[in-house]
Amino acid sequence: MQRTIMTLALAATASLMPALALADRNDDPQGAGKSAGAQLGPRPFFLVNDMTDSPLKQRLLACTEGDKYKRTQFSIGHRGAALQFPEHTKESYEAAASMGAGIVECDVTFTKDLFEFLKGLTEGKAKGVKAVKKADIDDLATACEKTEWGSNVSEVIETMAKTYGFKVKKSILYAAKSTDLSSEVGSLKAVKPDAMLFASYASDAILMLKTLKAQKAQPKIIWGQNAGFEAPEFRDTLRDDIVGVLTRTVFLPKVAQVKKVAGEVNAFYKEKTGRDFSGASARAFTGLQTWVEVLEKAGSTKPADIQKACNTIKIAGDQLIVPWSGIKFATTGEDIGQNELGTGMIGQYQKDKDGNITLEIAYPFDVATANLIYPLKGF
Amino acid sequence: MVIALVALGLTIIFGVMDIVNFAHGEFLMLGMYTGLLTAQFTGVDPLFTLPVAAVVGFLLGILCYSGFVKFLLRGPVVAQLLGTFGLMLFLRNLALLIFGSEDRALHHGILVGRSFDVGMGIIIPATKLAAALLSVLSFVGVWLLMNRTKVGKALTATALNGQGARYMGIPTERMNNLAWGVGGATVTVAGALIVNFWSVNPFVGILFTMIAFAVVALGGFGSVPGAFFAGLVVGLIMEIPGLWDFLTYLTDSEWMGQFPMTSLKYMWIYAAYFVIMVVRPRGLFGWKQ
Repeated sequence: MQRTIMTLALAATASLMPALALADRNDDPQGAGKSAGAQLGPRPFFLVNDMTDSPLKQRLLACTEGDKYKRTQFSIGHRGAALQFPEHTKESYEAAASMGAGIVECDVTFTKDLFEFLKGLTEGKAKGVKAVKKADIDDLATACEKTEWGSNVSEVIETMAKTYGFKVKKSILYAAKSTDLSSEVGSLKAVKPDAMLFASYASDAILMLKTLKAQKAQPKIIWGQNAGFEAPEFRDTLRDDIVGVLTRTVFLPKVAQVKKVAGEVNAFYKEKTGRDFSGASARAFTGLQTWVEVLEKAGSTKPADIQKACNTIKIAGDQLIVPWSGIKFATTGEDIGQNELGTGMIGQYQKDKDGNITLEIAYPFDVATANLIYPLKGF
Repeated sequence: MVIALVALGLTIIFGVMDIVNFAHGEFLMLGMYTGLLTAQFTGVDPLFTLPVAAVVGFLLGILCYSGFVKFLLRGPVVAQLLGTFGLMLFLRNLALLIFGSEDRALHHGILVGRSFDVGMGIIIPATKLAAALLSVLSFVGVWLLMNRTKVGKALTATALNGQGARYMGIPTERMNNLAWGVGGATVTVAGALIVNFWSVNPFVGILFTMIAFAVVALGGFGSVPGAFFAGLVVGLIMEIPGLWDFLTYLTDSEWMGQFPMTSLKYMWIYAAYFVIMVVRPRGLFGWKQ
């Protein structure tokens, strides 16, 4: 009985949320045109769509006809309609649109950097390493957690590999938060890859590295898509075992060595918060900085002015704390709305003079802070 | 083998008490922290922290029983289920408060980072080998205790018919305490052993116990040899994807390579569990219906 009540309460709360959102919209005089009246929220919309064809379905669907949903560029759906549908799914994007989101924000994965890095390695661009033959590093194997994020990374790697002429010989999606990864490591080892690529959170990343060591895996490159590979405990628990491991990131305190402004801003941040910028906070800072520039350029808060300012803005690289060559948004093509001048970073764990494990910049090559360790010395 | 060791404590407690202990994974987690912290603070090899973990586990088991679970037994079955579930949440959040959420791991020790190459591409990590040996020892020990001693007979009697056992003069209350103590000790020892390889965080328990539940159900609730053999079976099932991919590579087979065997790793365990439940509901070795 209690369980039933709880379930009902949860269902009621969940179904109220879209209804409240709709009510807000209906209060808007602009939205209350002749078509205002009965509307379907995202959940019922999904359920109705899922019904078998019947006169009832037709009548219910009639509610969705016409321009019932007032869309605004100021309503942004985070990865679709977060908390209502799985992130980054068609259903989620549709729900976001039906709730009036004019913009749907998708996570961007800069996996291109990995391939630019590998390409650079074959061209002798990596600091302290002579050009590597492409045949020596073109066999790749990936193991990503079986979540939306992990699957997405895995897909992007496969697509990019084709574009750049690399071979993905094995691509595994493993169950996240695993108790044992020995069979996964066995699968990876079976294809004898030159580079092993991972997308995992901390506990899996740690277990993966420990299992790779226990199974004496010998790839030339181990690379992680930030997350667990960038987490402080990854370094603290594995220490010397991760020397030479690469991870994608957005900001490293080492940027201060090559970019004066990054060092200064990071010092302010550290004074205030007691810690260095992380990838996420550095990106947030840069986002805010961009907004300030955009609003100053626009000179008003009218959407059209802001859009115009965004499309014409150009911030130079030396004004940014992240190692990008600048900020300029693409106005056409597939990358519309993306920063054309942005790059990710690839860091490599190395041991400094005092025996501490630090992250050195390995890519972009022009800001590299240490000689690249290649190939991985093995466990 | 590691999973078998975790499942052993669970099956003892269930066998004697008819209680499914949801907090079992948290006992494992506390065993891991006990091993880790004892080794870090005293500087002894993590392998020698096993007796400390056993004592901690035994006391923890008794404390949980006499301080909490005993009172639950007066209530309906649902109260017992939700009670141990609450205990699980309590212990987990207590650990979160004390130790924080980050992963911790050992860096030194006889077993840490060592593996044996037995040829043919088969490499066995030292921790897993030790876990296998300890599992065999623990299972033999517990089996002897249950089948060859008076205490064991009293435990079995309590399990089969508590009221009847009480009439026969068996101190059933003490037996229940003992079951929780022994159950707790086996799992904390398992924890102190596996921390040689795995890292520990307050949420690690559930990952292992989810599978341990399947092992206990597969082997038969309350059956010690059942847990042992089911542990072996589950361990073998978990290695299938690796073997599959190895064969795929050898035979260069297209369709085998396309099959997402690794993604389905845990599915096979629960599929085996499902089949056993349908064909033989009391499990492979179970005597309780």
